[in-house]
Amino acid sequence: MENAPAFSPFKDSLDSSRSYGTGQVRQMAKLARTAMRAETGVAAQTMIPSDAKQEATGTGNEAARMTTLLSAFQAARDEAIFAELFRYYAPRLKSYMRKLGAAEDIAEELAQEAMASVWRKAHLFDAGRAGAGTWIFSIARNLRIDAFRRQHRPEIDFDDPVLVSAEPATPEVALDRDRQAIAIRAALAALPREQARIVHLSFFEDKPHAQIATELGIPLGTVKSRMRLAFQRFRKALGEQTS
Amino acid sequence: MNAQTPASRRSAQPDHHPGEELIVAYASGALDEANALAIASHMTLCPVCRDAVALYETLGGSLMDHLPPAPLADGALIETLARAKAMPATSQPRSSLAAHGTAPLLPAPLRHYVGGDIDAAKWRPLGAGIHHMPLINGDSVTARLLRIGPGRSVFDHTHGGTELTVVLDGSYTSQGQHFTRGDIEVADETVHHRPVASMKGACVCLVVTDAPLRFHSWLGRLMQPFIGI
Repeated sequence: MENAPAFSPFKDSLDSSRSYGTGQVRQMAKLARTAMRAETGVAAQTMIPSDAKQEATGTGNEAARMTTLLSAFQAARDEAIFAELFRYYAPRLKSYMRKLGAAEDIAEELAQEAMASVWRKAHLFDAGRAGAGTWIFSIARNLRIDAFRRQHRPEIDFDDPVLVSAEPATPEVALDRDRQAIAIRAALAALPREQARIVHLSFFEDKPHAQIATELGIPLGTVKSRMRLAFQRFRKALGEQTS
Repeated sequence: MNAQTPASRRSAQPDHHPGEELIVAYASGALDEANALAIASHMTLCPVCRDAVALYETLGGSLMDHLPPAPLADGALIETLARAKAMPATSQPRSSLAAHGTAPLLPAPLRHYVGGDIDAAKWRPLGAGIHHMPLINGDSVTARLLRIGPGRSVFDHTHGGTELTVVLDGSYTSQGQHFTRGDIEVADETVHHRPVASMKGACVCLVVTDAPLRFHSWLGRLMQPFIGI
């Protein structure tokens, strides 16, 4: 049953499109920015369904606290602060690696390695760009790509002189990263079950789309259009959380 | 805009984007190296897609936050501290680029593979005014730089899988659409693809292909075994 979700069939007509217009993507980005600014007042309080709000707010506070802790560790390199980050993140990192198919001992090893990277790379953390959870997730992701596939991960360099910036940089965006996480959680909670499942699969299955297609016995184009639909719904839900 | 900046280097934002599922796959870590290189290159030139990737990385962090914690081995913290201290802190400055007279043409992730900026590219002729430099030769996915001479075109072809093209310099037209610096074109098996470079200058692109191309002209088919595309 786990392997054969009851997807409803969708036409593949979306798949022949070559690229997305700026308007469409800009709309998505606007949602993302709005999400970052959300939660400051009445709007978010009233828009989020109560159980999702409960959960979202709880983890939002925790996420914000962890970001503060990581910034404090960055400044002081204090072992006690690191221990607190470790107690929160190491078991989740291990769980993430297990989800992606790592055996118990490998998952333990990778979780420890990820936390050691947090120690070593703390000076690279930029609280203006991402919260602690986001930054540590990206460390773990790159570590497992390296460990599972022995591949280099091409990464953007935010100090690259080639970088093209958005015209009006909005300083308030950076301040509200943690609020974005809250809105995201609420948007996820508002997704229909099938779409939520696809979102989870996208992050916790280390499988190319082609392999997922083979396993589900559906065409590759269908996998892609279902994913696209799931993430469109996610974006829409996010918009509803923050509008 | 500085009058001396060549048109192709202007920091205008791209009009063509990779689409949601590639952005998600990049953020989640599901993409192979070659496709990830294409997305990282596009993102460098596209603030809109950078925002989108940031959004999905936040989603990834949030999903990880909500996983049931898996208990660690006894002494894991002490082991980790020992491990962290055994290696020197990564001390390289945040900027990976030494002071440069002019801004490079290639995004940083690409410079890593080329071994420098565009002037370091080792071009190999493919004939018909086209040159290439292979960058990644995976099991099934390849990444290469392609330079198409002014007004020249790549042979008409379709794809067994998907082809991503990121324009780095110059421009080309394909299927009635115009692609300039930073734009990414996603072509799948349904697309008859015959990019034509602008007459104004050579077009340099990053091309990522996940299955051998199928050429439709006898010349293209004849050439295929020799050029290894």
